[in-house]
Amino acid sequence: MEHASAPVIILFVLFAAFVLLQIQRARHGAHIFLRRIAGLEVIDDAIGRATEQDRPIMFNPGRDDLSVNLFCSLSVLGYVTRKAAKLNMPVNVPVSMPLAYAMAEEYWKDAYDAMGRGGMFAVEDNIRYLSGDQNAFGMSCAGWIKRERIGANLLFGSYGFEAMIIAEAGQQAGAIQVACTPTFFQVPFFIVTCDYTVFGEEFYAAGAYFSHDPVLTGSLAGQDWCKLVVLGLIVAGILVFTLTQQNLLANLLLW
Amino acid sequence: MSKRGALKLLAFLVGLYFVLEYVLPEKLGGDFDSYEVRAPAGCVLGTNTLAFYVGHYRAEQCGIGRLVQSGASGTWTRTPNQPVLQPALFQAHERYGMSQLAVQANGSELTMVYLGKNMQREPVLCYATSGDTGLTWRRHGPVVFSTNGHYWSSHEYPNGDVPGAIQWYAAQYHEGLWRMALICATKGLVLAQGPTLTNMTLQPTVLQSIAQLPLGITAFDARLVSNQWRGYFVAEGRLRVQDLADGVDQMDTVDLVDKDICAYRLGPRADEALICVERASATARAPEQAPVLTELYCAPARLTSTGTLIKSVGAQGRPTYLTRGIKWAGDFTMIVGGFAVFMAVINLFLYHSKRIAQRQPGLHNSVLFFVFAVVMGVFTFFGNKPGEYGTQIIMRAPTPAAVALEAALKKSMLQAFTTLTNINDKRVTVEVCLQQQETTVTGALLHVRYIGIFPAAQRAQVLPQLRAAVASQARIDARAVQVDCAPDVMKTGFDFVFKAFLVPLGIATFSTITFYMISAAYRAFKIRSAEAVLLMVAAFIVMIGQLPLGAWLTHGLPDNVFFLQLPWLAQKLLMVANSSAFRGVLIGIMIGGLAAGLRIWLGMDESVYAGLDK
Repeated sequence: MEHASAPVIILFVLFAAFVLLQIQRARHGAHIFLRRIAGLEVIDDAIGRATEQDRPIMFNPGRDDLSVNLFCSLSVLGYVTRKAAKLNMPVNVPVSMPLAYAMAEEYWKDAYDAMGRGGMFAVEDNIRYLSGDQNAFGMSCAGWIKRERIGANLLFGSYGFEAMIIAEAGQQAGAIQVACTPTFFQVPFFIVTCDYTVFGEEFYAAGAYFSHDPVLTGSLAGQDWCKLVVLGLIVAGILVFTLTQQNLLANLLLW
Repeated sequence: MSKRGALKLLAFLVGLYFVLEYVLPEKLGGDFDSYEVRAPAGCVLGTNTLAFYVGHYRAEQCGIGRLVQSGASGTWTRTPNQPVLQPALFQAHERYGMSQLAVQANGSELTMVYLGKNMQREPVLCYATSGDTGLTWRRHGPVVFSTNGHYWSSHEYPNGDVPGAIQWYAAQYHEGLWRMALICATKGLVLAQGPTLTNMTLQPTVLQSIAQLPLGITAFDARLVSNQWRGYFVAEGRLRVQDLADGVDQMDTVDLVDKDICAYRLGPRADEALICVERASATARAPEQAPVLTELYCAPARLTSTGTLIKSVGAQGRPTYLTRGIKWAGDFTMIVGGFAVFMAVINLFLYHSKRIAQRQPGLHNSVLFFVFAVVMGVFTFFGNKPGEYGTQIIMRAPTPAAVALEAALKKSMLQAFTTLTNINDKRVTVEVCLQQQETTVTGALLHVRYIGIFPAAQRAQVLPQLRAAVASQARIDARAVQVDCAPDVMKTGFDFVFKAFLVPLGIATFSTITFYMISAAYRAFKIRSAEAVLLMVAAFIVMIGQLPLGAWLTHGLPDNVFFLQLPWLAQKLLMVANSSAFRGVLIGIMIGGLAAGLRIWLGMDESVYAGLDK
């Protein structure tokens, strides 16, 4: 594991301070504006549409093991499951990692219990550990989507090449698909197969977007301040690097 | 305290441990050179005999250590315990380490020249000075060479006009001038001299080309003798001494006592050299210890012997005081993960058994799941370890000779079996048991287990030969030798199922992506808007530019419109436009991950504790 050098420590403290400061501001009632993210707004519509068609909903948390990405995915799972529970709809959750399976089960049960629908659907039928192998996971999801004729396919997590298989199967089944991933390399595949694609930091914004929890929204505002600092460092670095080019300086002086 | 509160506290404490381990400055006391020692250099300064070396505590993390030789006893002592110089915050030229030290004493001042590795891991020759016998050093940046009298160095060429990356060098301060011999990549040996190290003039001609230099140089140094450079090359297990001017060997090449010398530098005295030797460890070492030992010696300049051992290292340094606990955390995670796998497998079994019980459509897939789960489970868990086949004879009181004979027989029978059959030695397991009465070997039992095909006709030929070989080596009657040769059913079965089912299925699955990509591309590349046009054009340029076809289509364009060539355009699109967008997104992802991690660590994110009572 690498260890922090002095600039990393300074930036870490600075960024943490920004995030915590904004969280405190949000907790004390400051209004944090969140811009509209089309891919996240359409989730409610997707759930509603699947309900109208009486087709199940699938929430795919990707292939994240125990990590920050998994927690972000599962917080959205909680939101989606609550919405579906209100409409008496099941949410199918294919899982690739054993630890993710254990946690998804808790989130799923908790959501249905919270809406008073505990016991309506069997856990083992809806949350299934498929496989840790990418090929097996992708094909299992594809088969599940086609057999059950999934109506709304929500892909929230990190994926490898199986993203194409899963998303294309959803496309062929006629499901409305929303992909939200922090992994950059699968974004092109999602863009061509899914109806809406959200990537990058918006993946981490999803939880705040749905819950409007002050901690989460304040954290988003803090992230924006951090990005401003990074932008400033980039501009400063470019200027310093350009101006300290020895030949450049000499040429400017001789010009 | 509620369950949720207790978990938050536990998560905070564990997270705090990891954060502290990450942010704690790396302790560089006695540990800084525990992994490797390299690049020694020495000199005599007044009454002090000094040596400096590059100590590594991990592969790329290093610091320069200082050794002092006690006049009376001749023993070398490391003082201070901290490194005297190490890659620091804004030292871009040595970001990835230092190597090839050379130290010169000028009056009361020491000058150290060293080869740093910059951000691009390219070598940059730099120097530093010390006025207090090497306890503290002041950096002066890169050594600057020129051929035309203008002394420019830049970020791109920090050493100035040097013709090619510096691979080896020798430096000496002689009669008021700094003089250097450099071996540059692809060019060869060049000489330089100058009044200061930032004002070195290169001789215009290459003294010896790369082809004229010895092959496989692992170390190089040179010294001025009667104003002529004499080079000392360590190459191909030999020390070669030759005049650099004419390339003629001055002394017989010396076969090195230890053929894995990885560093050589003349000094601290005229007839001495400091060398580093690499040895693969022959004894079993703990996993956290480096498998290679490096040793620092003060040897005769002509390496007639390895001389006096100064340091011997070969352990994994612990960067901080908390690093040991990281391994425990990793072990704990694995244990928890194991339980999670168990839960996940139970879920699989429950689901598929329910499908079979309820006779749902497609239950044949569930049946196949159970069949293969059982088959693979049996093959994996019940695969025999070597020596656990059938009946064994165990010696009650084995003598050392009998134990050695067993080991020798095992090795020779494995070789004999693989020679006589077509079965690779990785697919064979051989065990030998000797029967002993008092101290005399009276019988032998040879177990051979193989993966693969071994026809009965071939077996009938091979087994008697093996029996005869064992009897001959153990000096016993052939009738007292039993040979038991059988296929390793478990391993063969596992191998077969893996290669015949799992691998082809994976390949077939991966291949379907090709067809999915074609259908997705057909849908995507429809020109409906300005952005779609841009996407289409960029995709076309990148795809065609990667192919020979793209190069052929535009190869006839004149050089002054090189920017219209498809390969160039494709590269620029990928390396400039695409990568800048990628980096922007990556910055956002990293900051988002940091914020999310911070929330979870500080227990602010309630969604993590779903299902727990508040």
